[in-house]
Formats: sequence, structure tokens, C-alpha cells
Amino acid sequence: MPISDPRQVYFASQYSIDKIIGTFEGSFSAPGATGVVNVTTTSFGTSIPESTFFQGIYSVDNGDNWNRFNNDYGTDPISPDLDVYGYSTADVFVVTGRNNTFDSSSNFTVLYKVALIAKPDQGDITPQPIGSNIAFDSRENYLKIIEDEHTAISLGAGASTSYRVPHNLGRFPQAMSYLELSSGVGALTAGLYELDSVLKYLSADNVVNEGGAGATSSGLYLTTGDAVVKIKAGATAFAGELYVRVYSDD
Amino acid sequence: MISLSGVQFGSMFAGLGNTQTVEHSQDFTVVSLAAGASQSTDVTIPVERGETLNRLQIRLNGLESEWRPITSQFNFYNNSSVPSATERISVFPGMDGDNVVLFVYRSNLTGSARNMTAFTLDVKIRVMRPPF
Repeated sequence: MPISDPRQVYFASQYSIDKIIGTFEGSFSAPGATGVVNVTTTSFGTSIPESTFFQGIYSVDNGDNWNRFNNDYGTDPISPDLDVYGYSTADVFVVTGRNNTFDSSSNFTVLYKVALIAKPDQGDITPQPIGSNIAFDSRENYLKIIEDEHTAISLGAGASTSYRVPHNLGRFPQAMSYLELSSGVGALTAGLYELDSVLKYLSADNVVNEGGAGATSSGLYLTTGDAVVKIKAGATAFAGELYVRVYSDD
Repeated sequence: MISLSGVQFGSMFAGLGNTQTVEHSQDFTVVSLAAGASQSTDVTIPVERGETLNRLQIRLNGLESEWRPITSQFNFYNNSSVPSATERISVFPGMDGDNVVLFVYRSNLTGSARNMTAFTLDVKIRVMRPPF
């Protein structure tokens, strides 16, 4: 018998969940440079020969406070001192720090933690250590995947697309979206990114991340019936694989 | 090496457990802003643990019907064309210890004083529990 309301159970084996296939942590320095945004990257091997979904957090105060990747750091979020984001490629994960202080005396020591999560078309892999002997805790709720879709997109300059994934729940669910760029564009190299990273770092010339009333703003939108990703290219064409994962949970 | 094809759940994988769900709403009332002026507000929402992989969704209730999952800067303009928009609302998510902090920024984009539109900021936070 199907579960009429999956939100009422913490875990049900008929629903897939986010599967963590490895966790990693490390640190790197993100120094500033006079007059320019200084971009520093670090990378680690994943021993997984494919790109993966992921989530990451970072700290610039030796672990006292942690921010999610894509959250800006600084006293003024409109002009952040530091941006940190990541992307996944075959066998390698890259963490990027953008020091926006324009000051060569500025330096952030960035600690990061990354959890790799299986994507829907993940192939044959060897799961990596996760930093814990406990894989599942029945006291915790697990978001239950009900839609796990992806599609190829290819946008010419100025073109737009809308990718709709119906969920038909009649309410606003949780969802997440990733975009795997098939080749480098603007400031980003080829790889699998959280959608927000693409929208943010290509926003200057390559993707329209601003607009109004949902008409042209790129992003992931949730209605009571659908999850919809809207993307409008800017001055540069780009292509990739767009992923949308929708959960039964609110 | 294993194939993940068709695997719903396997004990060799950690899941991303969720230990807390937080919902928060905050009204932003009509406010008069001078030409080109802006107003910023920090919305602070305590969660049980800051070192997590939180998932955050927001909605500008009264302006948009959709919810939007965000990790980075969120922008709303009250017109489908940015050049003719008269108001901008931006939300910047971040953490401060065990608090989710949303920096909400309202800006009058016109050349004269304007009453900014009221809305309610709705927030849903899932506090996920990573294995690290």
C-alpha cells in the first residue's frame, strides 16, 4: 500500500534519498590582490570517476562559524569580502575562493567541508569514507525523493529556456537544482555546479539572473504543482545538463 | 565498485538526515524611501546547529506566489524589465554561529520618493545533519 503522506514517516524504503558517497574537508588560503578580485582554487581527488551532486560549507574563523557554499562573507553582503563555491568533475572536486577586497594585505584562511551526493544518473562508483560509522539514524527525517529529472540544455546568446518538472503534490515541496556545464563559460570552467553558483558567477554577461516578478529572473521556482527552472542566457551561449530533484517533504 | 542504478537506499551510504525544520515569517510594511535610497534589515533565525548543510527556501508573500530555494543572492524587481523596475528587493543568506541570518535589502530605484510595497518574507529551513 502506498504511503498517502510521506511526510509522516522519517524514512520509507520505497523512496530514494540523498545518498552521500563521500565526505571531504581541507583548507586553503584566499589572499587579496590590489585592484582586482583575486580567485584562488584548491582541489582534492574524489576517487569517483564522474561528477556528483554535493553540498559544502566553509569557515573563515577557524571553525567558529560555518557558512554554506555560495553564502557571501563580510559585513556588507552587497559587497562581500569573500565568495566561496565548489564544483565537481570526474575524479576531482574544486573549491574556489574569490577575495573581493581588492587589497593585497587581505587574506582568508578558508576551512571547508564537502559531502558528495549521488546524482540520478550516477554510474558505477566506489563509495568513499564518510567520516562516520553511522550511515543511517532512524531518529532523523530523510528527505524522500519523488522526482529526479535532468535534461540537456543549450542556449544561444540571449535565448531562454524553462524546464518544468511536475510533482503534483498540491503544496510547496523541498527541491534542489544543479547545472553541469559541458564546457567553460565566462568565469566558470566545465563541471557540475549548484545552480545558484552558475547564476551568480555568470550573471555579469552570461546569464540573466535579475528581472522581475518571475518573468525573466533565472532560478528555481516552486509552485504547488511544479518545480520550474528558468534560465536566460546573456551575451554568451552555453550548454550543459540541468538537474532538478524534488522531495516529498515540505 | 557498485552500480547505483535502482538503489533506493543502501547501508553503505550515509543519508542526509534532517533534525529540525524551522519556519519563520516576517512582515515588511510600507515604508517611504527617498529617491535612490535603500533600507536593510537583518532577519535572524536561530537553528539548533550552525555547522550543517541547511536547505533554505524563501517566498516574498504578496509579491510572488512561488517559493525559491536559495543559497546565494536572491533578487526581485517589481517589473519584468529591470530598466523600468521601481523597486528592488534582495535577500542574502548567511550564518552567524547557530543563527541563519538573512540580510534583506529594499531599494527605491526611481528618482523620487516612493512608498515601497509591503510583503511578508516567508522562510523555511531544513537543518540537515551531515556525517561530518
